[in-house]
Amino acid sequence: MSAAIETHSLTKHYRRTVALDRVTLEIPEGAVYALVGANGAGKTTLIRLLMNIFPPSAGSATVLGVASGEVGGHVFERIAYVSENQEMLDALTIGGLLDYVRPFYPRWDSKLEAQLVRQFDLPLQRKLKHLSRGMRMKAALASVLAYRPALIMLDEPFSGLDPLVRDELIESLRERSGETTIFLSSHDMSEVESFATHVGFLEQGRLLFSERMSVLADRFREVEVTMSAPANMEMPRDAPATWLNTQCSGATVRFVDSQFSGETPAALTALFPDAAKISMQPMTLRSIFVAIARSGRTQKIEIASEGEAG
Amino acid sequence: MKQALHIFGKDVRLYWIEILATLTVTALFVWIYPLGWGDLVGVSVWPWVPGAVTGLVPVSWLVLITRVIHAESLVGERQFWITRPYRWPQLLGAKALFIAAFIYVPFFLAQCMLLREAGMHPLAHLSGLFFNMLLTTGIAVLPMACLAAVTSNFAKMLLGLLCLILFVAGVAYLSSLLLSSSTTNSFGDVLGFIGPVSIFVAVLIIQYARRRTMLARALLTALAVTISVMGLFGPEDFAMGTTYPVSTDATGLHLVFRQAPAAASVTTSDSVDPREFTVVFPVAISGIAPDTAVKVDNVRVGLTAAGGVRWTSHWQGVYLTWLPGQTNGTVALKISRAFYERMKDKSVTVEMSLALTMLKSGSVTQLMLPEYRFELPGGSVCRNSGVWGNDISCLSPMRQPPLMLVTTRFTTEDCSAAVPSNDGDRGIGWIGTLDTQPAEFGLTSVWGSSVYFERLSSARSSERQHLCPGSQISFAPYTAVSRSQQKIMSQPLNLKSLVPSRF
Repeated sequence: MSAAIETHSLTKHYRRTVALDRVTLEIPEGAVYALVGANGAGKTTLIRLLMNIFPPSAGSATVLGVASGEVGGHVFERIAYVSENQEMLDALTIGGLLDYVRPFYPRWDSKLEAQLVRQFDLPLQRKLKHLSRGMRMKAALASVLAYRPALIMLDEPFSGLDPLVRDELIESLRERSGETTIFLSSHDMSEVESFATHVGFLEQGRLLFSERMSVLADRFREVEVTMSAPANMEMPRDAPATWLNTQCSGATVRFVDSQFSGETPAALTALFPDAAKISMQPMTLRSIFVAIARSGRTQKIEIASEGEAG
Repeated sequence: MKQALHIFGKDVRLYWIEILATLTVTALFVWIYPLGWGDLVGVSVWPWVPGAVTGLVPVSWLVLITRVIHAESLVGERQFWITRPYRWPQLLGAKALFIAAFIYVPFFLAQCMLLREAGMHPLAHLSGLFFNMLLTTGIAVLPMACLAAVTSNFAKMLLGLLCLILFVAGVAYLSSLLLSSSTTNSFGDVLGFIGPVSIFVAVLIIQYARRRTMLARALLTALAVTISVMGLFGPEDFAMGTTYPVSTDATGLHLVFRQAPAAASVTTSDSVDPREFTVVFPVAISGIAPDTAVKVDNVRVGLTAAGGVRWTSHWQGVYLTWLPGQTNGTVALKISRAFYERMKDKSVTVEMSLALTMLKSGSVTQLMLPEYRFELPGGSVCRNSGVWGNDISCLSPMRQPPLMLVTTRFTTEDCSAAVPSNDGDRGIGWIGTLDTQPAEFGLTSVWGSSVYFERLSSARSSERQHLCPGSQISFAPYTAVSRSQQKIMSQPLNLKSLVPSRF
């Protein structure tokens, strides 16, 4: 499967501030890629670099096989970009917007457009400047989904939306997954967990990992070791660096294993021969990110690229 | 092209109010501007109205251009269009089409209607009409488009305009600090037009093709600074030397300082700048061949006092024309008041450089002055006018008329006689310019100009004399043959003797 997006050491400086630091990733075609990270982590910067809204300070990227510096004009016939803070043609009605953008796209699907208008319950006669945030986002999405883009780039699409609208948008995106590549950024893991197939985590401009969601879920376990007799536990000296947030309390040791595998139970038994119980629980995406954020050892986490992990 | 038309259609739908306002202002301009020509019912109650409407035209252009360019703003990272399949040449073409449709076409029609209103046929002046459009593009439309292209919204455009106005005011203030710095000739006109226009075009292409706003702004700033520095401190000697090469005396013209001071017979107003002082240099003239004339465009003077104290002026614009047979002339120049006060009682030697244009007369048109309108060669329409009825005012298509010497003879009686007696003084006057371009830059296609006659006989100078219908009047066109520079040196003289009497 070829890559829809590839970046190599992509970097963006704003004077002395590093907004994006040597980001390398690969997103396969057909993936639903969620780029997560706190506000200011560099998600919007990465998307704007990929969309050639501004040039990188260093590094390179390709989008649908086109160098990011050449993205523009006809290339956008295959790319959809929707951002939470994108300006719209506010003086137009929703119908006027659809009428205006339709001729730009040779592959515009009028039936799909009508279906989206119905699905989103869009008031065609209402001007964009009079729409709520959620309705604007739905109008924007309708104006890009109708031409069946090969790549959909969404920058914080669900931010500030009520759950009903958010679910509507997610549902519409889910319907398109498989036929198109979806790249979306979010600072809320729970809203992307249900439908993302791949995930990347940005922190302070650095991509900590980028991999298939299932691999990530398999790799992380919340481990709790309970000793047979109460004692003041200490961590084994040869505990691997991939254990995050270790806590010793009485007869219990808790930590997050970031490199869980089939051999892990045996290894744990060997490390804790007096253990009465060893539990290894799968983690939600949200709890994985919380663990990473709290670990303070993120730099030691092995970054697995999609090429390696996917 | 299809995309450009599509964007154009959207802009027309979105900005129909601005379009309507621009068309209304243009229509008002066509209706009101001719009232200032004096032929029609006057606007004496509101004499400012024609000027105000004329001023509104470029304002309406600025609003329209800014609005349509900001519809797809080139500054920022959140615009709708930058992630849509816009082709930049098509987008630029759409904006150009919009400006052509709602600025150029109405402007062209307005110019044609003004020509018709003045009694001239527009089709006879197509080259002038298109040339004026070209000048309008370089001087007004492109700068407005650039200002819009490097700003993100209307408020920021106004802020940019304010910065520009403050910058110009600053340069004007700096200019006022320099003494006698005005050089007024047309050297560098072509370069001075093509250079900025190239920058404006480059800025628009950079913005539409790449949206590199900082680079575009840097280019515009560099252009403004360069023009200002060249204007204030530019190599005027080089510019004057290029336009007016030092004469090898092939012209036959011979100039020397006259011994007898002419100051007492000349009056002048005080210089506006208190640091300057006007003195009048008498010059003896010889060698002007028949059917030629000498136009003095710019003069620079160097004064050297005993002890080697020296002061040199900048090139100063003067507007003198010397004719064959003329033996005496005067050149009024501003000099440093401080230098004058220090040296007024001492002898100084004067070195004067004169930038001259040699003129040659063409075939003379003679006619009897009609009672109403009459037409001149070149298409100007003139009439006898003025409060005293002794000057001639003309309307000319696209530009001032070609330079002409107008001569006539006045009548001492009033004009009630069927045939004027033409027994008064001989009067001469100049009208027009030496420019040969098909048009001068202007919102109007009709230029007004007047001949103010100088009466050559002083014996009856106080008598009331008339320019009556039926008087003989002749128009002699003059064209530039060559330009040159001449230097003349004086014997030691006293500056006090060169001071004219004041009004």
